[in-house]
Amino acid sequence: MPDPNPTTATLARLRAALPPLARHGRLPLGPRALDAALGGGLALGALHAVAEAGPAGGTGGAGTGFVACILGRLAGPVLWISPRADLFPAGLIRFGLDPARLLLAAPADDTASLAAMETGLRAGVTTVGEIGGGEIAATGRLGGRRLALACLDQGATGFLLLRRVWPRWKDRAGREDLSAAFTRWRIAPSPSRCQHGEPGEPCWHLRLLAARGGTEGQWLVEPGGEDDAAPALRLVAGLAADAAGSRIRAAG
Amino acid sequence: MRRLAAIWPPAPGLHEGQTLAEARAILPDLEVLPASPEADALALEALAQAATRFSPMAAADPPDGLWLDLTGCAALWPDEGAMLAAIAAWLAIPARLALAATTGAAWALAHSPGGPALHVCPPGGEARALARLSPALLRLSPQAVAGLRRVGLREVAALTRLPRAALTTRYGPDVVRRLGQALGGEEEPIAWPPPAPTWEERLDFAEPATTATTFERALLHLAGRLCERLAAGGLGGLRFSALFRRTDGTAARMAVGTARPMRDATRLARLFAMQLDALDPGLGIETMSLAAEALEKLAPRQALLGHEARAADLAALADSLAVRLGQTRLWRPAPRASHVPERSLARAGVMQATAWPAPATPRPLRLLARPEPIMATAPVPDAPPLQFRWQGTLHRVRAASGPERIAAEWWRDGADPDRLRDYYCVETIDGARCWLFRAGLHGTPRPPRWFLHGFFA
Repeated sequence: MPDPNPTTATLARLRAALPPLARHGRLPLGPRALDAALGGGLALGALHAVAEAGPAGGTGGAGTGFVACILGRLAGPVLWISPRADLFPAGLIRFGLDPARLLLAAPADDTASLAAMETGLRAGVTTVGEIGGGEIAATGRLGGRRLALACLDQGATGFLLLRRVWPRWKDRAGREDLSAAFTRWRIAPSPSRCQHGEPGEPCWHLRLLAARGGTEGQWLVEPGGEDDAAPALRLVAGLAADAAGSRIRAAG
Repeated sequence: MRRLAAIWPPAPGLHEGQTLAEARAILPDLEVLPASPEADALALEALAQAATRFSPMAAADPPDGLWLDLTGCAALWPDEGAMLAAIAAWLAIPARLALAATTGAAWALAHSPGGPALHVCPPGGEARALARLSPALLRLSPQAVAGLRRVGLREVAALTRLPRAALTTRYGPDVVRRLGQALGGEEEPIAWPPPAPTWEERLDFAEPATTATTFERALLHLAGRLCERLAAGGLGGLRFSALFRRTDGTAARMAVGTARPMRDATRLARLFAMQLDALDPGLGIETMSLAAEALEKLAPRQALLGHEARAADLAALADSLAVRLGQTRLWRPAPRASHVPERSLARAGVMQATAWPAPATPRPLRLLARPEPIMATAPVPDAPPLQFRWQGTLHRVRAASGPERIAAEWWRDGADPDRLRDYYCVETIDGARCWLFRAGLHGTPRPPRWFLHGFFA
C-alpha cells in the first residue's frame, strides 16, 4: 500500500534506495555553479555530447579545447577518432592533455567513426569521437544509446564532438537525437580578456543544454591550464539563462 | 650498353646477350623492362616455397630451376607422368620438367635442348637417357667441357666408357663426381630450405566448406591449437596469417598484425573472423591453415594489475581497430624535429608512446592539411591583419599576437621567398582564434600572400 502523503523523509529513503545516477563517479570541473548544475560534477563512465558552434564552428577549437581540459584531468590512454585527422597534438599540452596518451584514428566516414568509438568504449578506454567530418550522418537514437550503454558497462567516459559548419548547424540541429547522452553541451568561442592588443587566455561561452540529474545553464569560462592538478575550468562570469545573447555582447 | 637478359615470348632473331640496339632494329616495338636478378631470385624462392604443395622438399636452383624431391609423392597420381603434368599445369608458365632417380639425370634431361617438356626417366634408365647428351649437361665447368671436346668426348656415353681414375687425373675430380650424380653412385646434397613456418596449424575439410560459420569454428579450433603451442614455447605472435586453399588450387590469404605479442586464441580467431566478409570461398575451401609469422617472447599469463592491464587492453583495442579501419588509419602522434608546422608531426606505431616537449610558442589545436589562401587587409606591411575574408565571410580582428617567423627548410624548398612565413595568432571579434601567416617578403616581385593554417581553442 503506497503512502498517499509522502514525506520528505520517505522521498529521501526512496532516493537512497536508487542506484546513483553517475555509477562510475564524477569529476568536478571547478566552477561551483557549473558543478552544481551538473549535479556534483561531470559524470564519468557516461557519454557526453559536445557541439562546437560559433563563426568557425565545426573547424575551430573551442569544443576541442573544452574536451582536452576534461581529458587532462582523467588518467589513462585516450582514443581520439577524427575522420578529418586535423588534430594538432602540440596544441593540447596547454590544456593539460599529454599527447603521448593519444591513440589517433581516422575512419573513412561517420558510420565507421561511431563503430570505432563503440569499440573503444567497449575496451574501457576513454574515447573522443568526432562526428560531422563531411557528409552528415545522423547519430540516431539507437547509435547514441549503444554508445551510452558501452560507457555504462565499461565505466569508460565518451565524448561525441559534433563538428558543424556554422550555417548548417541550425538547420541540422534537430537531426541528431542525442537524448542518450548524459550531458549535452554547446561551446562557442567568446572574446578573451585582451592585454595590450594581444589575445588573452581563451574564453568560451559554455552552454549546458541538458544534464541528467542536473539543470541547464550557461557560463563564460577559461581553461584551467597546463597543470592537471588544477581544476579543468575557471569561471569568468555566470550568465543568466534567458538573456544569453545580450550578455555575451556586453561582455565583449 | 644494355643487353637482353631474357626474352618473352621468344621472337625470331632475338637471343639473350644481344644488344638492345640490335634487338630494337629487328623488333621496333619491343617492350623493355630492366632486369632484376635479385627480384628474380626472390621470386624463385617464393615459387619453391609454393611448390611445397607437391612435396615438402622443394628448393630453388638458381637462376631458373626448381628441385623437387618427389620420392613417395607419385602415389597420389595414377602415374609419374600425370604428376608431372599436374605440376606443369600448376606452374602455369612454360617449363620443362624431368623426373629421374638421380639429381644429375633430372637436371640434364630438363635442360637438354630439344628434349620433351615432360620427361620421366625410369629408374635404372639414366645411362641410356643421357647417352647422347652433351657432357655440358652434367653441369661441368666450361673449361672441363672444352677439354673433353678437344679430345673428342662429345657425348656422355663416351665418358662412361673411360676408366674413372683416368678422368680424374686429366680433368679433376669434378667430372667423375658429376657423372656419379647423374648415373647413380654419388649423392648430391641439395640445400632444402627449412620446412615452412613450423608455427602453423592446418585443417583439411572432409568436403569443401563455404559458410562463414564453418570458417569461424575452424579458425577458433586452429587458433586454439596454435596458441597452445605458443604458450608451451613461452612465445607470442606479432603477425599471423590464415591461408584458405580453394578446391580449384587458388588460395586466399588474410593477415593480422598485433600491437604486442599475443597468444589469446579467442581474440586471434575474432581478428580473423572480422575479415571473413571479404573472403571469397569460390567453389569451396578444402584446406585452412593458420600460422604465426613473427614471434617474440611472451611471459606466461598472470594476473595483470593497474597500468599493465590497461596497456594490454589498449593493445587489444588497437588490434581490433586496425582490422576494422585498416592499419594506416590508426597511429600514435609523435613530434618530429621540424619548424614547419605541417612537418612537425609524425605517425608512430600504436604501442609507441613518445614524449612531447611543451611548445615554446602557442600552437593551434587544429591544423589544416593545406594552408588556405585568404584575403587579408593589413594597415602596414609588417603588421597583423585588421580583417580577413575566409570562405566568403569577413572576420574582423580584435587582437593579434606575433609574428613568429618560420622559415621552411632551404634544402627542401630552395630560395623561394614564399618559404618565409610570419605566423600570427589572431582573435576575431567573435572570439574565434585563428593561426594566420603571411608568406613572402615585401619588396620582392611577388607581393606577400596570406593564409589560414589552423585554429586555436
